[in-house]
Amino acid sequence: MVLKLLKALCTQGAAVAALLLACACAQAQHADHADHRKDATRGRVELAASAAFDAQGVLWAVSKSGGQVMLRRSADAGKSWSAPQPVNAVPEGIGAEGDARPKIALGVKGELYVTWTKPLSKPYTGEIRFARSLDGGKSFSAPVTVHADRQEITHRFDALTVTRDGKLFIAWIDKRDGLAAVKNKNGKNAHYRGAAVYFAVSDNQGASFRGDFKLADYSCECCRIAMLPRDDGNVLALWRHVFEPNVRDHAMALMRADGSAGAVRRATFDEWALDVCPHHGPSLAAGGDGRLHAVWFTQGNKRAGVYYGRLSANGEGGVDTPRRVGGDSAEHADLAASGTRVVVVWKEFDGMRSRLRAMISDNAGDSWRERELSATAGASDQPRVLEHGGRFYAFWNTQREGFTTAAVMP
Amino acid sequence: MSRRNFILKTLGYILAPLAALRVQGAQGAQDSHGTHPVPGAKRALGVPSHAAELLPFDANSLASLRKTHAGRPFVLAFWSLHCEPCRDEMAEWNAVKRRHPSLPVILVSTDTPSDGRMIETFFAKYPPGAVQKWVFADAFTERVRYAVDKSWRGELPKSYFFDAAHKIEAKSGRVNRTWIEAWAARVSTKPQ
Repeated sequence: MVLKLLKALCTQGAAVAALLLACACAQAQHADHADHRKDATRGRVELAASAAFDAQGVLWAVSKSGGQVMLRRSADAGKSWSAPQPVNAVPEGIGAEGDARPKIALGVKGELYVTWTKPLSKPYTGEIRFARSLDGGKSFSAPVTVHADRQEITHRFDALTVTRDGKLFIAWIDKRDGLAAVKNKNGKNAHYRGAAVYFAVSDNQGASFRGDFKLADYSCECCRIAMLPRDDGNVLALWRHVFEPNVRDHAMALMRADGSAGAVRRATFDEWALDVCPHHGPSLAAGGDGRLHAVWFTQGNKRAGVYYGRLSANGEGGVDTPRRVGGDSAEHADLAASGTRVVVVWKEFDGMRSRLRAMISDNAGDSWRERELSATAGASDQPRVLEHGGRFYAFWNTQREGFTTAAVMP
Repeated sequence: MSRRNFILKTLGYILAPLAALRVQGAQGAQDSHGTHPVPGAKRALGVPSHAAELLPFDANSLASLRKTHAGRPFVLAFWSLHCEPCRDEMAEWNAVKRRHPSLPVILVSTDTPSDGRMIETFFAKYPPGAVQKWVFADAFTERVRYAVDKSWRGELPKSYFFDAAHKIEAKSGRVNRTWIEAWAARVSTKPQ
């Protein structure tokens, strides 16, 4: 009798094991949700936020609150904000560490597009999530996963932008090729550097996406991707690359609306040769004369710190002579350009407070002046510079002051 | 299949997943690879203990560590759950502890105390050896980083090697074994 029972158990053994593992997974998921609820009481400060102006000058911001992305609007350039409303009704993981944060972009007809990374159970894994509102934020579509690839691997560090003709581009860091190289160790791609940049395009206001298009192999794994829509309907991307053997300088390439990718060009030459996670992605903007402006962070052999550089309209040849931004503790710079004006913002800790500083050029980056915009004596998010109607604002979420939107020029 | 083997196999099917669960619950009390036990880290299986295990690291912690380890070399290394090179570096710390058991290695996670469960699960999977385990306990991370190194912008892994006089050598990125051994030889920490 006992033997019979054991025989039955043996044949069912795999099923029993699967059942037990399923229980364990359910338990882990439950714990994950519990952690989200407890965030507020266990010392985690949630500051990761992004903002964008619409065509009418209304400022829209998204931020993480537990398992939800929350949307707020401001009709007075950030002086006052509406009550937060959830983008995703059903809570889920929202990536907000390092360079990860929810993002928002406006469509040409005022559509609100929101993306975030949903972390999965294994470390470094995630899915790129997207939700849209076609009624000015009153309601949002149920979130969808943008990529077709559903392996539990890295699809993280979403970036989005909208072209002049209304096409929505979403890019992300993707490890499917690295994984394939590991599975095929005897192949010539046995050693795969870092991750890859993939992208998807929507022609119908985010109702559906075409993808998963590969922009480039060998990106760094944990830095945000800068995206710049071009007049021709394509999007230029700038990201931290891993050049041979492990040089973490920057590369750029064109994402075309048809899903094809332009040539990968080297943009920065700092020779940061290291197996490291900078958690510090670049930013890219175009001036009125077509030339490009970039800021980035490096600890390379040639220079270390935050730097500004100018590039030709197509980025060929990379940056000209880099100019240092801020002091030894300057970090997380962002920039925007309009006409001949270029504005760089960053934060810098002085031992007591984090200072929000700006560097302004009125001659397309030839000369600069500096201003201090704000300071805080607590935790703060990365600042972003926003431009609307030729006016520049620094958007900064701080633990003490909340959303701060400072005019760069008084 | 003999009856004995048959029974053992059956029990294995049932117990293996349970054992896996208990190792998870043990929060890294032993090397999940089974190669060697971690000295000084024995705890009752299944007892959630991450809250007590992870020490809080803030802007004053390095000063305390310098006092605690006065006149002795030590290694202070920062890492995060979100940093893949940090994962690869764990094997290096494990090897350092094997070769230099008396050298204090202090690993500080730059995540938050609310990540304690994930941190301990990580350590169970990538055991760093008998290291001290700390976690950032101040959301004002710039303040903590500045107290350690004014020019550290948060890149990881980031390691600081203190000799007996507490002269510091800082390393960004994954540390190189040859370099660590050369440093250890310089500070007279002989391999055991």
